[in-house]
Amino acid sequence: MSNCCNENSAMQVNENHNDMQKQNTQTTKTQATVYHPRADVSEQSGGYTIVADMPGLTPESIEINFEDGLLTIRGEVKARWPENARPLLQEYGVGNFERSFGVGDQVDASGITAEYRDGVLKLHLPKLAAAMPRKIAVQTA
Amino acid sequence: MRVVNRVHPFHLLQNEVDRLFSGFMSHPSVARTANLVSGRSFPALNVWETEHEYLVEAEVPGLASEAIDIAVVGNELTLKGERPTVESEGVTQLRRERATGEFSRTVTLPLEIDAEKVSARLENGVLMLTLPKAPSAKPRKIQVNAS
Repeated sequence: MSNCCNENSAMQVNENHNDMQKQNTQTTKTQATVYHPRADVSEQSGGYTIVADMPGLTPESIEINFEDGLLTIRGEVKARWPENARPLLQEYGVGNFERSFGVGDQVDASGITAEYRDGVLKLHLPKLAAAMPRKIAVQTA
Repeated sequence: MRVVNRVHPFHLLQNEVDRLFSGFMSHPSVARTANLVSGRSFPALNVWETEHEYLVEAEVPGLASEAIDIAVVGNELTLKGERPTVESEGVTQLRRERATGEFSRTVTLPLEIDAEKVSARLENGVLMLTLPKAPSAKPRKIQVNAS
């Protein structure tokens, strides 16, 4: 597939992400690493869909906030380090997820829905009625 | 008039690299980091060892348990499956970062596994495997008999 991104869309993703599977966005000595979930964003006539890979969460550990046109998703991951085991191979880190999406003023905040299944968070953001495409009939004179 | 080939050698190389990794990745810009998520390196694994077993964990969001094929032969563990591409009409894809396609990953563990006793659990996109070491692979204490 070569089609990807219509960057002129009203929906913009904050641009501090890169293409790593899980990118660590902040690390301090006192704070655990926070990961940027990979996400697909699509637009339909009625709204937007965001699908984010956030494995290892429960619906209760997910927080979704919408404020000033910015949608933020957060997930708190419980430590799942086996006890009394010696690490042999560590290819990925485990930590909380966080990512923000700038969605502008076309979204009906009260209608946002979210679903979490098999480690994937799926959000639907309906467009405001004013932002919906309308078909205008041409009348004969 | 001289014909100038405007394709920079670097782009040729990049195309070649993209082509090599295009099997698993559908998004060209993601394919550039395909060493992380190519068909052969997905899923990423964390492996631990205890006295009697190996513990293998993989993040496989979006996969149901029946979509993952787990095979153990000797000391090799293979995870196979496919993350389907969802295409629907009337939808404009604005961003595509999640990898799709087939994957197959084999990891060789230091000791032989008791394949009969392997157990797997899939919870919220995290696959946890417990692979007991084969009895023949465990260290044995050998008594030295006094003559």
